Amino acid sequence: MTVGDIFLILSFLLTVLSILLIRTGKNIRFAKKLLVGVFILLTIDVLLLTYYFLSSDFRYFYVYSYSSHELPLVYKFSAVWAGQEGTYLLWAWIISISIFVLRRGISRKRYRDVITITTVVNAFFIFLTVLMSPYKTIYEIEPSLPGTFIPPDGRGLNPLLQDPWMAIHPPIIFIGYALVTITFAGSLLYLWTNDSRYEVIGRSWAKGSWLFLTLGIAVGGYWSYKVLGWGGFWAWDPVETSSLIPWLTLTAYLHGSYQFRTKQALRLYTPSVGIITFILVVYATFITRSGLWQSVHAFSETTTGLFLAGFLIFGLVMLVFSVYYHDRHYKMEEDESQDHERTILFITVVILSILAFISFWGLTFPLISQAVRNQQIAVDPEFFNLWSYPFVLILLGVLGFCFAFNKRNIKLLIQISLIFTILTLVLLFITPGKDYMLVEPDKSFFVKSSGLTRAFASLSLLSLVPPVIYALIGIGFAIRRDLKKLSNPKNSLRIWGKHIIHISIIFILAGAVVSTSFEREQVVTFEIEEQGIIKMVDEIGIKLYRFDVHQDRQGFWKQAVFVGIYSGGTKLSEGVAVFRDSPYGTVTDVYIDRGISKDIYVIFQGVVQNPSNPSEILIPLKIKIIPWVMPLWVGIFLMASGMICTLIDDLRLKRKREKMRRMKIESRI
Amino acid sequence: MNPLDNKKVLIGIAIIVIVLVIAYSSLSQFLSPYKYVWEVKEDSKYSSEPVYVAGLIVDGSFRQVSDNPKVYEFDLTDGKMNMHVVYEGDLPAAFDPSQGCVVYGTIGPDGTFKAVKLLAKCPSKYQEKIRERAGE
Repeated sequence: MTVGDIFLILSFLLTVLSILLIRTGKNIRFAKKLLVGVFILLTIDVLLLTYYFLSSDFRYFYVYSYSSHELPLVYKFSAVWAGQEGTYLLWAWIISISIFVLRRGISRKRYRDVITITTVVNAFFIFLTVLMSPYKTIYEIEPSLPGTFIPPDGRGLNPLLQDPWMAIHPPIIFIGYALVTITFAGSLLYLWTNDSRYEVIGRSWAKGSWLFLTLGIAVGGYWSYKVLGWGGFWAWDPVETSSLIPWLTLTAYLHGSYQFRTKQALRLYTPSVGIITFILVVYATFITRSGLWQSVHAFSETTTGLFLAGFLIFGLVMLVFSVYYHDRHYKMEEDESQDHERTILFITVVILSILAFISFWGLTFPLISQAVRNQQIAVDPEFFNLWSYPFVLILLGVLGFCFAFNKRNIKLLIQISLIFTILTLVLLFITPGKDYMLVEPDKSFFVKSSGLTRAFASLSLLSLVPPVIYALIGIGFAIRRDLKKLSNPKNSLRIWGKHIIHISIIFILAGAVVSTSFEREQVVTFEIEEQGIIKMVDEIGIKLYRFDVHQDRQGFWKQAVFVGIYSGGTKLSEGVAVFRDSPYGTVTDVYIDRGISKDIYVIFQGVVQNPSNPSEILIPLKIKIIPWVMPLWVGIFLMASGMICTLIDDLRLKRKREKMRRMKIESRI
Repeated sequence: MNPLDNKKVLIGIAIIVIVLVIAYSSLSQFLSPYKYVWEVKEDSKYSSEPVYVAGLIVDGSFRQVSDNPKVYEFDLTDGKMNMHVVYEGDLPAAFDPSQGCVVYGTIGPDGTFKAVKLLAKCPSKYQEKIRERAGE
């Protein structure tokens, strides 16, 4: 038991006490102070852990496991969340920050209710942190160690985690996860009370959560793209997939909540999906922590998996109960008018849910198989790609239709839609080359699959073109229509935000599909004397500047190849590809020339002897030419910016509303 | 619930059910089993059906046999049986032959496993090993 542990337990007790106080309604003011106390205690805990890392206090096992004297300062900070102990702490801390923000409304009953549920969830995560305490000393773990023993150095941080993107990835994802808690609380309370003002609180936090989830997934992909052998930016690894599913349901929630407030529709579905999103977030954590999945990411199995599973079941029971309760006690007062926009949005929500379900199913099936048949299996990534593909096409079509739609143009729009549909269907069967097939025929998946699946897998990617164009035309229409409205600058941020987010989807889809399907690779081999020579890979020239070998202070060897990338005689960029030893085995640091239309990806895995002339040393470089990666990153940037625009507008509106409320109160006085 | 919504909910459920049925029946096509070395060696069907095999690389057996293309070979063990693995491709970004790894591929008639994928364990997986070392 160390100081950090004592603070943790104290903060747990304070959360329990504050819940009791709020529920009995006896001393709300004091409860508010307690919530601030929890926030301060957890902040001190985070700072304390950071301090242990910065001072390289290896008496703490967590610090010993993830740090070393040699570790650069910035990674000593990020090592705080390198292991699961730290991530639970981080999660609890972020929830306590959101409660800290919410507490200002504690005088209102609605806020008190939301705070109660959020605090219950927080208590759970503080409890997990207590179980998996990052403040355990090495003496607690290994009682035979004499109390005077201090490890001379830590184990160090894995070289793959020593990356600026990896340093920020976990906190971003966890902010997204933690904020979903408030959407969960708002949705539950709406179902219990039928008071849509709860839904408003849940919804207002959902957008922030969505922004952080988007960024978190993107940063993870950006990092994974640089790491060799991780299957590029997206590989449908269980851990990746598990973070995508809540993103999809949260997207469905946001579309549903638009209906909820403007059309008085989807009043049961929207809050349900809000609750499901939270359950999926817990499920994602369960996947990473339970050790039940065969993932390259999988963390070692721990006792917390059991508690997470229990919490998961609790969430599901709450969902079923709340929906049942709502159905029994409240008459649905839905707008019954037939409305095209409503139907379109309903379809959108359904398709998003189906996409979430496909990912969920592919993710969960191995677990079922393991439980029922005691057989360990992995679902091939092709499952996710193939089954999602048709729904993505439909989603693009719905997007275009929804944006272009107005009551006057419906006939023309249906005619155009029909043409595009036929075009898409025809193009499904036109494959100019094997790159255009949904699954390339030389993939092992293709070889083993049966006739029908193979026919599905050989459909053409060209079919993506008409829906993309259709969606772009649709958005174009909407922008033209909105330009008139934009003369009123008050609405402009919100409208632009919406358009930017939807355009970004098209960028992301196009970038993701093209870059994964049309990647080419080739090996060029330089002799060690061939410095200054340019060798061609297709239209790209690779120039070897120099080759360098040296040994670092700890005795690890490092080989570095300095290369220049040329196109048509002009230099595009230069950089270094590295192959080095580390305490964790060999490490490959690739060099990537990032271009607008294509990336040049240079892989170097050590010099070799020429088999025909052993005295000669060769430098083999594997060159990958990956098209359209930039549109993907641009798309993600746009997506985040669009949501930021919307959030700024939300805050502005909120402030305006508060001001009006205050003025009303003042005028009454 | 009004009748319109009833209809919509029904349509929604119908779609979900259809998807479920199709997804379930077709999922078998998309599965690759995880097996131990001895299971793969004893079952001839893995000569045509790709399989994941997880294990430890036998100490000192890892070597590079060709440069262009890069080919590596090593012996993989599950503690019960060993299997000779030939892998053509890049090594993962951080790779330690003394760690466990997962290979994906098929086994040949001569008992050599031809791997098309080689996965190293994720950084976080090292936690376990560090624990072991610390315990020593």
